[in-house]
Amino acid sequence: MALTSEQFEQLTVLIVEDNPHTVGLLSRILRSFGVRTIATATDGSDAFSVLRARAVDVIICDWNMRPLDGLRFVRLMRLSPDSPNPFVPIIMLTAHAEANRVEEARDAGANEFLAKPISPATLLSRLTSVVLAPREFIKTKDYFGPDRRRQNRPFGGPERRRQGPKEMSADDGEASADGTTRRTA
Amino acid sequence: MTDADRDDVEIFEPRIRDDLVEPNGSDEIEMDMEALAEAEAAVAALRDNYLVWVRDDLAAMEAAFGAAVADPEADAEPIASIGAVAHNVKGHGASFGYPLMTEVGASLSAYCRELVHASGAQLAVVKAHIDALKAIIENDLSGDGGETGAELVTLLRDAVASRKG
Repeated sequence: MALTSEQFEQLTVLIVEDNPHTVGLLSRILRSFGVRTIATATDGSDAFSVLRARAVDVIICDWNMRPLDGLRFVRLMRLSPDSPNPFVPIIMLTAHAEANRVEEARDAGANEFLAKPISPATLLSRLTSVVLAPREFIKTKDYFGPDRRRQNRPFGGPERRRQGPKEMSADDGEASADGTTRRTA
Repeated sequence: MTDADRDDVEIFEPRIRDDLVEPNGSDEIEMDMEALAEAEAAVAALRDNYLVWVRDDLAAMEAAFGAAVADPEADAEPIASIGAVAHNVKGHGASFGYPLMTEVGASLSAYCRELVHASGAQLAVVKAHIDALKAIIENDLSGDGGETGAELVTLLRDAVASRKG
């Protein structure tokens, strides 16, 4: 399955980025895909104001912003009790593509990482992934966010899940208003 | 970590919007190639806009360089400013068909990050980068820039290696 332009029309995307040229580029690409509703914010604090006023389906967030940068924004979205939506897919955008940066973004709770310079192909790939193949969210003592083991990378710690994930029916678990179903492993 | 340290792991399964799922599509995730082609054409159409704003970036770098030269005791801020603009140049160039701008911008950004105060020789390396960026735009060295582009990159690499910050 693929995201069609008709489906893109139904998405609301929030761009959190302080460089107007990057905002212009992203907006142009998103509109070419078919996205009609694009909100913008110039930093993490501004993004929270936007998110309190409206729901969005995907956030594309730059790393380097002031006063609230992308990494802190992602952490607050995932962990703050005041988060407007801790489950919203977040794509972290940055011109720093070093491995340690990718890990930091992942460990903060970003769903995907998108290195600048942006290409339409990689943006389409990330959007398709977060919308059509959303990962489970994991909550532990130290982390809340998308499952960091989606890629089947070796995990150095102990296996703490007592059972594997299973298909949930409408009667299982505790359905919540944000569209997630929750269970304890 | 011992068993006593283990916490319950809670797992949440976000649902995708039902109205976004293709009812008769395959289960495999694909990309819409038509949407992609349209987006690539739209970005190509932005190229003239890019050439205007990148010239503004280059002018800002030149102004900061002038400030660094004029007041060597207070060059930390202008050098940081050059690095910040170079970081933006790095982030945009290849998107608009100028990967050399990304490569040179990356080199300049990294070089400036290592400098607190610059010697005359180090300022010369910064200037060489700015001049290279200008040359890429003025000579429309899109793509890999051919032989000229390769020479520019080699010269800068050698200059950085000999004048590490």
